[in-house]
Amino acid sequence: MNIKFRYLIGFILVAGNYFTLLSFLQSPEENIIGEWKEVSWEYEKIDSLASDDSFDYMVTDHIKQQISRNLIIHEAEVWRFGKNEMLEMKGNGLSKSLHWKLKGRGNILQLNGTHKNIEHYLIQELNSERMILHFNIDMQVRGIVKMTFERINA
Amino acid sequence: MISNHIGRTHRENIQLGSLTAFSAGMVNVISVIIFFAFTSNVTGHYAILAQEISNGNWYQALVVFGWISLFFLGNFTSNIIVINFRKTNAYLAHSIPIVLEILCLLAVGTYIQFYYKETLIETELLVSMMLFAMGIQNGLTATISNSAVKTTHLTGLTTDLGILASLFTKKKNRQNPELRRKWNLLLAIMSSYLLGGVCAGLIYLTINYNVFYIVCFFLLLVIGHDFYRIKMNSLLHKKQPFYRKVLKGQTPQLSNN
Repeated sequence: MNIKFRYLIGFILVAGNYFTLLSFLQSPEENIIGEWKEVSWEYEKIDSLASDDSFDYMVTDHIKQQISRNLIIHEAEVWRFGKNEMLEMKGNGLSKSLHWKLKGRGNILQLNGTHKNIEHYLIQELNSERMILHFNIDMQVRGIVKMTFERINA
Repeated sequence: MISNHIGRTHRENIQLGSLTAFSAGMVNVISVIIFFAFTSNVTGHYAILAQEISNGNWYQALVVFGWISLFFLGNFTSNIIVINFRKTNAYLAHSIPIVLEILCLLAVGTYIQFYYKETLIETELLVSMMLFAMGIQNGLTATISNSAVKTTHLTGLTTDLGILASLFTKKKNRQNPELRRKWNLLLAIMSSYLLGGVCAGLIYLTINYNVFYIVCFFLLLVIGHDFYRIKMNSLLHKKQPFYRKVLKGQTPQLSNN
């Protein structure tokens, strides 16, 4: 067989299989649509000196308030991702609408606030039941905060 | 800079390496700022591919596999053009891949400026195109310079720098002009890549997506430099046919007649 023909067949086979497989899979943009309830806030990493078995990784309500005070997601407990890239957040007497976008390979969640402020969260896990977001906190508290959500409605 | 692949001078390699590394550094930083994805280093993408497979994130794994494949395809494309057209016209064979790269980057820049809605599919496709462009550039520089210059391969470059630094602990190696030339070349590529990244990060704040046009300008410099040199040489040949017939690197000799 002619070498050019072999290359062409190889290319068509790889590309064909690639796009066939891709068409069967749900993209993170489709996966994220629905209503999510915040279940926990934890430290993902802490100083090694402070780590021992008794250390509680859960972020206390007071620290959570301090961390999220200036964030778009402040006091939001239920997040509803719409198809039109709209995000509705509900919480303690709070209700607001934002825009969401996914970046990278679908691993970065970008939230556009009302005052043109933009925040980025790393999507660590996203499946039909659970979503885990990480974000770096710019405070005296060192480390990454891990936010876990459970799906309420698809 | 790009017209010769045999008997290349050290200066030509430094010029080619510095300019292309500078543009690669710019492209990489811009893609991280806009898309949160690297476009000129593939080692990291292999690590991400492995991670996504182990996590069972098949969609993301396929996306990353596609990006790596496009980098591969870029290298393939540039080399296939070079090996097929080099004998006919070396300058043209080496310029076509850079023109392709410029077209890809122009397309990305223009699309972002006028049409980008920040959807995931757009991000994935634009990153693909940038990886293809970087593949073209890396393949071309490696081919032209006989693998002496690889502008986006910073892992290998840092490895070589580390090895050379250790070799220079011996006086014999420090006095070796070949090793010193290699050190200078690697250092020039590394500094240009870094400088390109820093510049992109700084100027992005003021000129936004126009950074892509600046990268294209630097690539045009690469093509334009050789075009100018070839044109000038041909002009001088026409004006002074006898004086210019001295072979490069040879001292003129009087004939016996």
